[in-house]
Amino acid sequence: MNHWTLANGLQVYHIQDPDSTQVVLNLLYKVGARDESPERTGFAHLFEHLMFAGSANVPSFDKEIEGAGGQNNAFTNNEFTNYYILVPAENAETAFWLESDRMRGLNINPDSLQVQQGVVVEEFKQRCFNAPFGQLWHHVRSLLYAPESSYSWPTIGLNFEQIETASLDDVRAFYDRFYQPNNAILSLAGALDEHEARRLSEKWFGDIANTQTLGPREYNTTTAPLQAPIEQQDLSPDKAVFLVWPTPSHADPESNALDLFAEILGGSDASPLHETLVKQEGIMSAAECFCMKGLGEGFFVLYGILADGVSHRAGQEALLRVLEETIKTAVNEDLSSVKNRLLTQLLYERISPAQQAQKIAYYAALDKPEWFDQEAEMLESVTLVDCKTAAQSFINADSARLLFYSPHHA
Amino acid sequence: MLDRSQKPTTQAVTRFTPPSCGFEQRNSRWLHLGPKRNIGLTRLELLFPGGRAVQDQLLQASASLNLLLSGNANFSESQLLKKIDSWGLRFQTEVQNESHSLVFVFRPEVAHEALPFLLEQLQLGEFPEDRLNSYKQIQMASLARRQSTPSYWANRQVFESLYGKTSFLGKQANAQDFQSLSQEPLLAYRTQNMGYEKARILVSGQYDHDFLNLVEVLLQKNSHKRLNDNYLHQENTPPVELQNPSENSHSLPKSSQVSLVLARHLDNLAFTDRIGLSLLNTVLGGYFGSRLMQDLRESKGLTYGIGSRISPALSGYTWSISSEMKAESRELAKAAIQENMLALINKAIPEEELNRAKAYFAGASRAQFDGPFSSAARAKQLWVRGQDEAELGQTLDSLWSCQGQTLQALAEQYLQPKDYHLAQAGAL
Repeated sequence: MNHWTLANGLQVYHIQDPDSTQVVLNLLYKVGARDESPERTGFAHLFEHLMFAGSANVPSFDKEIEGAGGQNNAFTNNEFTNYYILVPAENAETAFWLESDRMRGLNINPDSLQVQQGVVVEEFKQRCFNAPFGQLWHHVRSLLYAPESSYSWPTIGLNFEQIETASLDDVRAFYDRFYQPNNAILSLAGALDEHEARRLSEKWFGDIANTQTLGPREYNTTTAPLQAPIEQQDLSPDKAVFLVWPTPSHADPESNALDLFAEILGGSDASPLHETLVKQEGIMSAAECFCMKGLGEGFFVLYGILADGVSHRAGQEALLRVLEETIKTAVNEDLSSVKNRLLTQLLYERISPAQQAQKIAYYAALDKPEWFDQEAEMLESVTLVDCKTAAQSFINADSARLLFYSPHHA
Repeated sequence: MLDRSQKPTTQAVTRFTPPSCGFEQRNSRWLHLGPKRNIGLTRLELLFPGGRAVQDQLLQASASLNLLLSGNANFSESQLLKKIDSWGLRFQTEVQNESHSLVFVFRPEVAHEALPFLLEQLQLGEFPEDRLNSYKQIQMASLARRQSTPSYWANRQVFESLYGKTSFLGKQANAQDFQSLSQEPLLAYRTQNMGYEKARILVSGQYDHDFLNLVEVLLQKNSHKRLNDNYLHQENTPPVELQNPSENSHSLPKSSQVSLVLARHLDNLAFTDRIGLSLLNTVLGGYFGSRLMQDLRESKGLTYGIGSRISPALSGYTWSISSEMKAESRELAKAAIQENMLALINKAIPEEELNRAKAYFAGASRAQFDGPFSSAARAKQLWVRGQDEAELGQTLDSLWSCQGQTLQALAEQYLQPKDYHLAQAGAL
């Protein structure tokens, strides 16, 4: 992997894949839902949509990239917004042209704002109201973080009324503040060689000036006080129990230990959660867990979808019973099995240039770009004691936040 | 400042040489070898004729495959899964209408320990009653969750309407179909359709000559019969039964949107028509720059997503258009979809738009071959569909020679709104 920084602060990472016929240009902006105000939640994601509405020299972003035989998309989360373009190697320069033009030359206009507000409201409804557990992230984040924390709302926003009332002034201010070279990470992967990657990144991004100094940002990560379980009605025909805990940022070594612990507890159909609660006891149709790792936060989710006749409290107790038993017996586990599974997964995640580019950008945003080349060693270095200690510290019955779902008709 | 009003020159992807996507005979077995890549992973797929087309009851094929490792006289399901986990091996099964597959992805260093064990155990699955019952509960709960969404019902209804509720392509699974699964038919499916003598072998990623020999020896050891050429072609494909176009609705009062699906069947397509229709589908709703996406989403803001696709349906294909929107926008959306269909019938696609769609299609076609496992996926597709590998090399020539008038004629034949079944589900 190669790395350089342009004079304007844009960080560039490059990895070549001689077997590929494609080039991936991935541009990560360090702005997400955590940068929003409580009155404008969902805005970072709405803005991502507006980035496709055309720029100074490119009336239609999609038409240009597709005319060059490429494809593109983007996603936003609580901490960053990621844009990527996949293009035939011979047309790599088109990707640089397009992405650099909209970095500071976006065409912000009332028509595109109005249209994208309608689009995002429909996306909100589709994701949150038309799918089982569609508002899970609303509930989980409100359980984890105090209302004054910008981590307490989901990327899609608290409600769609805030999206509908966003103004052009909001859009311009957001663009000027966050969309500039020193707040971005460019990662390039695929058929492009280093010389060409350096030439094209300097040519197309080197002359873009920063609009303002974006100093260090502090985020309020105050956790919410423990409270009675949130009870929600949902489209799902089955009851469900979710238990969640706040955990450290991915940069913290305990985060990797928790990740491994999640794999021990629920990483496969032979893991204790599925084996005990689904297969042996038959009290759940699904029992799983995962550790979400982020730049400035993390959380652990343990959940079960309950079989008919099983109460929320019984589900909660069963999940905690398996959790506690697994923590207790964790030192007797054979960690090599879990590590082998994760190692295969790590290798699998690297087989495409697009995945490589996204992963590099993420680690760079975490300020740990070297981790891209160290994933296997880091995985190998975690011990069972690390897993057990981390689990005992962060995931226990007393500190669990509870969410109970019931079907609408109940 | 760099003058960004001057866009870089772009080159259309007019030619590329796809990797070999065929099968070769090696020791009486049909083998596809993908390009060797030192990625630290090997992918092995055993591809069998069979699939849903040969099952005696709904869900028989998928349940039989999903429960292959549910236990046998020597090992319980947990023991088997723990073994697989210990090697970090990813095992999955795939069921299509005309075939099914066993897929293994693993680090090369575990091959000599993992594969002998697994390839033997996969021939011994007994489908114990308790495991089957657990599987039924999990699957029924999953089905019930899917049935809470508008898109499930709109898709189900359009297929029932298009192909008939009792036909092979139209019949949809219900909870009682899971309930009626029993040990015997699952055993029968395994015995009749999963003998290794029938398997085509697809290898890709990191592998060497020794690995190919290992696979050969293991398949031979665990087969009871010699390779028989009769197994290489699909037989007894169920007939496609088409119904008259109709409009169907399913109300989900708790839903906040309506899901719309329009669909028709395409049959007996020659190669050039397949390319032409794929290009026409690209223009209609196959990419971000498509007419449906630009009109309904980017101009009118009616929906988060709309798209059209052509998907395999036995010897033919299903062409469908689907979207979700708020209830008040439903009629507007239906009208806009129909207008876009008619526009392609009434006027040839302008040159600039057609060239853009061709460029996108050509780029995407080449991108499909990027990656260590891609040729195996295409080899499987070609074999299942009975298509000639030589067509791959002709795709771009055929694509770039498509004329607007040709596509207009195809639109006239295949895009008439009256020929499409329509289903809508949700907040009606």
